[in-house]
Amino acid sequence: MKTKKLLLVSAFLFFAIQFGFAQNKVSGTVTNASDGSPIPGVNVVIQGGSASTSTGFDGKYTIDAAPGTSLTFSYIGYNSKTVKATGNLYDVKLSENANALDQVVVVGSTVKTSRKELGNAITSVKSKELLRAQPNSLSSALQGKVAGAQISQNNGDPSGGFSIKLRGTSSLFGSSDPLYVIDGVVSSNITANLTNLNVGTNSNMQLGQNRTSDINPNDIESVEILNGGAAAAIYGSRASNGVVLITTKKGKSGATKYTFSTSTTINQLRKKVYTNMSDREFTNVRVDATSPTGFSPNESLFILTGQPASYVALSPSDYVNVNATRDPLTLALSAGTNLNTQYRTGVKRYDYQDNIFETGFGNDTYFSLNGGSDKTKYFASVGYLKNEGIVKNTDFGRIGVKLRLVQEINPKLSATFGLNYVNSTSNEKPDGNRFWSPLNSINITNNIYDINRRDNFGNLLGVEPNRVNPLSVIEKIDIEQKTDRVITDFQLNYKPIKNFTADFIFGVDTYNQRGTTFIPRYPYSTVTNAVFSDGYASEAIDKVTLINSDINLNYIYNLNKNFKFTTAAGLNIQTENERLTATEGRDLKPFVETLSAFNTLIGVASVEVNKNIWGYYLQETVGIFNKLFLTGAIRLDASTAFAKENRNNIYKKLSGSYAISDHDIFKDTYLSTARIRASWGESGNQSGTGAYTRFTPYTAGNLVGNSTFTLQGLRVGNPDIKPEKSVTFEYGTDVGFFDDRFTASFSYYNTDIEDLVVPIQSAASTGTASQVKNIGTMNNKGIELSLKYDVIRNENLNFSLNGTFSKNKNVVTGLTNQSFFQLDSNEAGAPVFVKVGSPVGIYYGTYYATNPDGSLLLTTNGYPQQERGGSISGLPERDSNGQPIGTPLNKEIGDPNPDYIISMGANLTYKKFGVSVLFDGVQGNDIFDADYRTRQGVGLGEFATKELNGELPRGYIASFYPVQEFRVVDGSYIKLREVSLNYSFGKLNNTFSDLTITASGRNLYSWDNFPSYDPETNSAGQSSIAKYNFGTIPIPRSFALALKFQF
Amino acid sequence: MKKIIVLLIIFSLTSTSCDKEFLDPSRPNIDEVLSNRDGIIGIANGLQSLYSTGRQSPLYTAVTANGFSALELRILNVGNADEAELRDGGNTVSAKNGVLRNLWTQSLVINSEAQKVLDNIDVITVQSEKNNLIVHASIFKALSLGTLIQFFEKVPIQTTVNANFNSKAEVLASVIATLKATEPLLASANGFTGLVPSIKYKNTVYALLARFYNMAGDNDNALFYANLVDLTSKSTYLFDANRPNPIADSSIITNNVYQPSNLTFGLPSALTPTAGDGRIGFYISPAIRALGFFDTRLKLIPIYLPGEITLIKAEALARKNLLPDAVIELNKVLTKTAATDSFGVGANLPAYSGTVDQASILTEIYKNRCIELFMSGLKLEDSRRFGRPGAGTASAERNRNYYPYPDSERFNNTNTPADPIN
Repeated sequence: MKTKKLLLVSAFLFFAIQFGFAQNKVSGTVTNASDGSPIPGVNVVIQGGSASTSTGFDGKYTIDAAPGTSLTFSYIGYNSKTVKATGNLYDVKLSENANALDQVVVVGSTVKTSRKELGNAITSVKSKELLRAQPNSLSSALQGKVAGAQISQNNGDPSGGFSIKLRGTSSLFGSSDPLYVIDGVVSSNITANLTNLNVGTNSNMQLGQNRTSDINPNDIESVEILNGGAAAAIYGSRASNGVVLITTKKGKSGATKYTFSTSTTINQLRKKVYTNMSDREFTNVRVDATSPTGFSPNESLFILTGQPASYVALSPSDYVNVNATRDPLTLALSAGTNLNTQYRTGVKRYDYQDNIFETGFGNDTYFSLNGGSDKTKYFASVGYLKNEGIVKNTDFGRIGVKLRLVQEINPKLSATFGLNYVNSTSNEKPDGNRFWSPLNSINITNNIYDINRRDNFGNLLGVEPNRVNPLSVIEKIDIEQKTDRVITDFQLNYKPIKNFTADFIFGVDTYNQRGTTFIPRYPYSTVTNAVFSDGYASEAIDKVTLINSDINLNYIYNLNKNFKFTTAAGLNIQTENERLTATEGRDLKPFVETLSAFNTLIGVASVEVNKNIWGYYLQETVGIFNKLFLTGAIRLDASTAFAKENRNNIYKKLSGSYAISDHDIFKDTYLSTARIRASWGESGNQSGTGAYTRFTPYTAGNLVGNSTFTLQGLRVGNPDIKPEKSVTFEYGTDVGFFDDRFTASFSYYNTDIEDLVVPIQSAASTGTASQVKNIGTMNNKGIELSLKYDVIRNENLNFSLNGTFSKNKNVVTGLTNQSFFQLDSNEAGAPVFVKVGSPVGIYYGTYYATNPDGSLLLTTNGYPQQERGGSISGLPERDSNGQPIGTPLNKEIGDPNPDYIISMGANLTYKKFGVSVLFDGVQGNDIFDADYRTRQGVGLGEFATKELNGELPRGYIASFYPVQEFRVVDGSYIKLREVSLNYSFGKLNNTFSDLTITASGRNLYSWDNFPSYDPETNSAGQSSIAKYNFGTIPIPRSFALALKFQF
Repeated sequence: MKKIIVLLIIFSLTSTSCDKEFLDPSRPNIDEVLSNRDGIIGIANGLQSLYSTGRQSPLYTAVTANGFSALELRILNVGNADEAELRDGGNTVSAKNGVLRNLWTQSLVINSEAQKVLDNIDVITVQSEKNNLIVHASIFKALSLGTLIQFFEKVPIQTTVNANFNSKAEVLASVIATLKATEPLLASANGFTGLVPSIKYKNTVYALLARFYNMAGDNDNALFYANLVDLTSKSTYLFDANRPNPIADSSIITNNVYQPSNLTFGLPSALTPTAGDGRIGFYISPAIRALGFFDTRLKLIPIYLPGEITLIKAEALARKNLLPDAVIELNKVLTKTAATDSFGVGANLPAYSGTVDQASILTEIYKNRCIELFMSGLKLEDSRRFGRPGAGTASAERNRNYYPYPDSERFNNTNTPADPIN
């Protein structure tokens, strides 16, 4: 009420003044030339005079000046305009600055600056680029569009997780994912495994969806990716992996505008893997049950066992080449000498891929409206997505409602309120890593069983003993996840005096994610407890709440026209709370399909994580001649994850940027833009440290009614744990030629990380299997290059090419007390190691014995074999026959980190027609492909065919089975990521202002040498380090047709 | 308006008052556990849980490794790569073998955790509880080190960084000392509510002393303690649906990992069990699947068998060259019927009729140990102690003598000795 009065009074005064001294005042509104929206904060200066003012939130200004005076209107991101005010009322339209250096970029929730003031590189991706080829998620929309970012989809499920890694791996323990900030709200991208609880966990596996899947790309206005230390001052230790700042669409004053879009997507399996279709199969020797030197019934590689679909009785004459004795000295059965070689023919084989994959359909419908008055602007949207996977009975659905309101309370104060509710639902199948998942179940079953056989009641029949019929997985295993999420923010933007802003942001991201798994009893007896033959049910709920409140103060002081001081200071507080409960049971009652079905409780997990993080910063930027900008910042960060004495940490930053092209000598030359920049900054990383790492926790359990306490994970805590610290030096340049038709941006960076938090393996003689310590140092060095060339730029025809190239070299530079250790032990058997002098996450394992010339050193029988030698020396040794002797040796056999990341794109628009293509990929990386070996071992693979057909000697597969090097394969790929064709009809009639039709494709083709489905995969989920393939669903090839109406 | 902002800012600062000490509400910290009666009892129960349940437990890994190396077992699915490696034996067995790493790691962690109970025992104020807990923890400390030394040439006794490795004699001496220290407490160690009730402490300590003195070659003490064991007393590990018998659960019922080699216990033809030996049908089905203590998920596995104690007596007497007395003890095992054995193991055979000389009697004792104590994890040690043909020799009866040290130890302990050749 008081405010209202005040407003009335001031309005009265305003008008009184206006009428009273009309001849000496000029007033008006400054608007954006492109969309007519008012621009607040525009500097209005009388040319040659000293008086100045700036526009309010409504874009209005009033200045003491006589009509006819020359006024200069300037604002970052817009071309300045100097005009003669021809009357008392003078409206001005400013156009956005095309010059790359003057572009405004967002570097913090409410903090914007022009690119040329920044000492760091920032990539900005606008809505149009994001939506070009009908992405289902933000992460897929960003693939190939950001220099220095390795964006990979880890799982081809419709809700499959993504990893975004900026400038390499920065931490061994935690996530290397960047911080996500949506309209100022620090948002969760946690991967919580709620539906694959029965997969053994270790420190690095991160299975399941990650929560960026809740964000509808249609709502996004722009995404800023801050790879380097640009955001370090504002986001501090949360930002050490970089920041993804997401700005969603806002309302604009004027008549309400509507957008309606709808699309249909088709998802297909892009490539099938090889399947052995040989009609032969090795069989068994009758066991001599009384002799210890005889064969066991079914111990050999890909032998027919159990109940073959097409059983052919053997007669003694079918036994060929039985040649099996044990090595008399070691009693070992060794490949190539004593595997039986008899086979039967006429065996019918099946390609189970046809039974689990199908074409999935999707639909994405979106409706938004925006508009407003001078004081109130609104944006509202509703979106519905449903997308089926390529595995039968899998899908992902997302319903979202979003509202964003901006209210100008008075000329000095405005408030913004945002609310986004999302409901995500998925129907899933078990992830990889377990033999009851769709792909694992076919990879582990010899394909001689007709999986479609059913009994009289329609129940599926069993296949190979101990194996789950893949159709049971498709038809009967029911896994669902449902997430309710609210992301909401409240902001106050206060501008009490000229050049000073105070922003207050309060953000809440909270969600409830619920996962249920139901595995009914199998209707056949060929499976056992190990695959939950008695059924399995689980339910898990994860409740996550992140609350952040930030205050950012900004003051610009223009000492004179040559020196400008920008002071920023602020405070951030964040609380994190996660409450996860999970219940698993087995031995199911009939009919019931929920958790209440179980008779035997497997266990209840209840985890609560609480963490507070807070920090203060002060940053000063000095602008000299509007060309050279120097920035210094200091920040204090604290987190409850650390003991009091390690809790507060101070980080410093210095950077500079020099806009060379602003010198007059470059005027009218081919060089349109040029600046050089450099920065040095420290930052902490807390993500590597859990909330309770400093404690040694005991797990409470139960042994026949007596409570037990056992050392959790056989590990001990570390009370002295402190945050990881990184120091980055970065320099680079941004140049544009020929009126910025050709632009290039280059950065070099060198990041040293110290006090690396390492979950280090311990010698068991220390009483523990592992401990978390600050003992590592690591270095990331690399370059990022992005190029854009507008080949043709005219009114009707535009053709541009763009590309990015980035190279990161990661090296673990030190580990206290040891040179290497195994970081991750996993179901896939991938030997993931950390070794001084090598990139993080290398595969370190057994390898082929070779001759000095590099060729394989074969056994006396002509088989490849593993290298052997001294257990302490680690060096190969040979016996008198030149054959390897001693313990199997290990060495570095692969590196999952790419040598470089590359993308290339082309866009063509001709009048209303547009075409674009985008390729992206990684090169020079290895993947540990467990499936590749498994398929050979069970008789599905290409080597099995050759061994059966006699092209390879019997036992060849057995000979490479223990050699881990066999499973390390080339993971390089270049993908045709996006293809898009669109036609924009423009204004159709009085109702429709635009109609655009887009036909697009995603992930259409891949150039790679990967023996399984898709090298862009990770069965360890969103793990930042462990990378391997073990039954994960491949990424589909998608085609989409979309219509977008605007009215 | 300014007031509102100021209020909001103050609100945002105070509402979170961030500098807090958050504790993990679902997992107590070590100092909490060790300073509390329930915590100490929980760790003591945890020792048994770690030792006897799960595929990582010393119980599973020792029976498995021993079974393959001493030819008791055959593998069913070579996809179980660690087990397959042990089956192949010789230099195929690698330092990264998961079964061996689990055996090593979990045994040494149990050794360390048991020591924590002993070191913090004064938290317990009731003397009888204290006595029970000391005995309970000592048993698992002795079992973990005493089991490990049967598979590795040297084992570190002390829990420390870069621990030194101790010889077999040192380890056995330490194990024996740990057990002997409990002797004064045994009279009052009869368990209490809250402590896992399946172990008869007095008899178990005596039985384990007899076992480890026997391994150490101290025949007098082996005999002395064997004679103290009440053969009708039963001590077992305890299982339920969630923590089932690990061998049954992982291997035997799934019929996917291993089963007995054959109906002759994997013994060479010279030691083939006598036809009609009641123990054949007790341990192995005609389809060559394990029975005995391993065929259902809730079958209790004995910590020691009465037959082991009798055979220790026979062996000690035989080694002391008191052959007639040795034969008397041997015959107790040969003629025992299922009904007269507390666990139902009965050979029900005629008395020993072979040559009465030390070598023949010892061979018969070895043969009976192999049968009576099938899948108990003791055969590798027995095979060495009785001088059977070792790995790398003609007609070898074991495919390894000792195992290579796991990489997890070698990579992190500079004192790890060289691996044995076989």
